[in-house]
Amino acid sequence: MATPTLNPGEEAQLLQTIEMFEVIVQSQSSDTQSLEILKEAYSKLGREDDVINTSKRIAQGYLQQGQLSSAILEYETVLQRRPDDADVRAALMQIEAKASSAVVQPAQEAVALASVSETSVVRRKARTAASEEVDDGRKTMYKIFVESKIITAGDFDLCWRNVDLTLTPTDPVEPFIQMLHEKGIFLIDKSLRLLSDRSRLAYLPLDRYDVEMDLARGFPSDVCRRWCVLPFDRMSKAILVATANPFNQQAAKELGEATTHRLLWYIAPPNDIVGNLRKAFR
Amino acid sequence: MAKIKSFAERIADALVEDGLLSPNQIEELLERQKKEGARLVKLLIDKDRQYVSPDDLAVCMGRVLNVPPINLARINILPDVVDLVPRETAHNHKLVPVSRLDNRLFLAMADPLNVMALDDVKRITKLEIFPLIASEKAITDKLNAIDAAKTGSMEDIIQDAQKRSDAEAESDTIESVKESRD
Repeated sequence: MATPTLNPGEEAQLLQTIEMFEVIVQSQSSDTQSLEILKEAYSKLGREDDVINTSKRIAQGYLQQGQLSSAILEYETVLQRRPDDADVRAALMQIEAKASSAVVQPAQEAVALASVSETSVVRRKARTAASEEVDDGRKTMYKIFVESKIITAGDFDLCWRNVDLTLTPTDPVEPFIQMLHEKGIFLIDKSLRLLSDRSRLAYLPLDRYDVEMDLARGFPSDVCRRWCVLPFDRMSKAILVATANPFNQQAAKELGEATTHRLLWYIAPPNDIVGNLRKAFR
Repeated sequence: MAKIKSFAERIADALVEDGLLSPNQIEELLERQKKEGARLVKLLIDKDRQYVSPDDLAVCMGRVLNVPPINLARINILPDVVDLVPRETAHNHKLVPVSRLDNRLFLAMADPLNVMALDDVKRITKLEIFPLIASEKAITDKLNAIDAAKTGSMEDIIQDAQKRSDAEAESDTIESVKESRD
C-alpha cells in the first residue's frame, strides 16, 4: 500500500472525490469505472481496508457484467495483499468453473492435434518409403471423412494426394478438401466446417483479408506450395498461418523450422490459399 | 504441492516466454501492483508507462485462455456478418462478428470469458459462438470504422438520390420547355 505523503490540499481533494464517488456507486453498484476511481483515492490515502473492499466490489461488478477475465484479475489483486482471504478464494474457484465452460477450447497449433506415433503406424502399412516418416495428416483426415462415413475409402484415395518430397513443386498442391469439392463428392463449406469442428481452429475467409505478401515470401516457397499453407499475417511474436489441412504436422514442422516465431494456425478456403500463394511466389 | 499460478502470473509468463517482458520488469510490475492495487493488465498497457502493446497483450492472453487472436485491422468483414449483432450489443460487450461458417459465428472479443456477452450473442443470433481475441482498442477502432463506412455509404445513397431527383427535375423542365415551344 502506498504511504500517503499528501499535503492538506491534496488530501481534501481526495476526500471530496471519495464523498462524490461513494454516492455514485451507492446508486450504481456495478459502475466499475467509478469504483476504480474510488479505489485509487482510497489507495492514495492509505485506506487499506477500503481498497480491499472496493476491489471486491469491482470484481463483483465485472462478474455481474459477465467479464470474467477482469473479475479474476481484480480478485487476484486482493489475494496479493491478503493471500488467505477465504471469500476471494471461493469466488475465484466459482469463476474458474464458469470460465472453463465459457470458451470453446480451440487448439492453437495444428501440431498438437494429431498423435505422431499413431499416424506413423498407419503410414508404414500403406505408403511409399519416401513418405513414410511424414505425418501429413492423412490418418486424421481419413478418420474424419471415411470412418465417420462422410465419404467412401475409394473417394478418399481418389482425392488424397501423396506428396513426393523429392520434387520441388512449382505450383501449390491442391488440398484434399478442394479435390473433394471439385469432384462433387463433398462441398467445400461443409468440409471447412467439419475441419474447424474437429481441429478447433478458427476459420478466416482470406478473400476478405489484407494478406501480408512479404511475410509469406520470407518462408520457403516449396514448403508453402507443397503443403498449401500460407503465412498471412503477424501479431506480436506470432505468425498466423492459413491451412486447409489442420492435421498436417509435417507442414507445421517444416514451416516452424523456417522461423523463430510461434505459428498460429487458421482454417481458410483452399482457393484463397492457392490464389495468395500464386501471388506471393510468382 | 506446486503453487497454482494466478491468471495474471500466467499472462506475465507468456509475455516473458515471448521475450516481450523481462523477469525484472515482471518483478517491477508486481511490486507496482502491490503498491497501487491495480490489475496487472491495466499496468501493462498503462498510457504513462506502457510495457507492451495492446496487441501483444491480446495475443498472450489468448494463449493463456486458449483463444486465437485476430488482427481486425486487416480484415474486411462482410456486412451480412457484421449485422448479425446489433451495434449497441457489440459496443457494450466490446465484440465484433468476424466470419460465419454454417451455423458457427467467429466472434472477436476483448474478453473471451465474458459469459454474458457470449450468452447475448448466442441468444440474438441463434448461432454457435467461436471466440477470438482482440484488444479493446482494436475492437473499438473496427466498430468505429464500420460505423463510419456505413454513414459514408448512407451519405452516398442520399447524394445519389439527390442527384437523380435533380436530374429528373432538370429533364422535366427541359420537357416542359420543349412542350411550351411546340
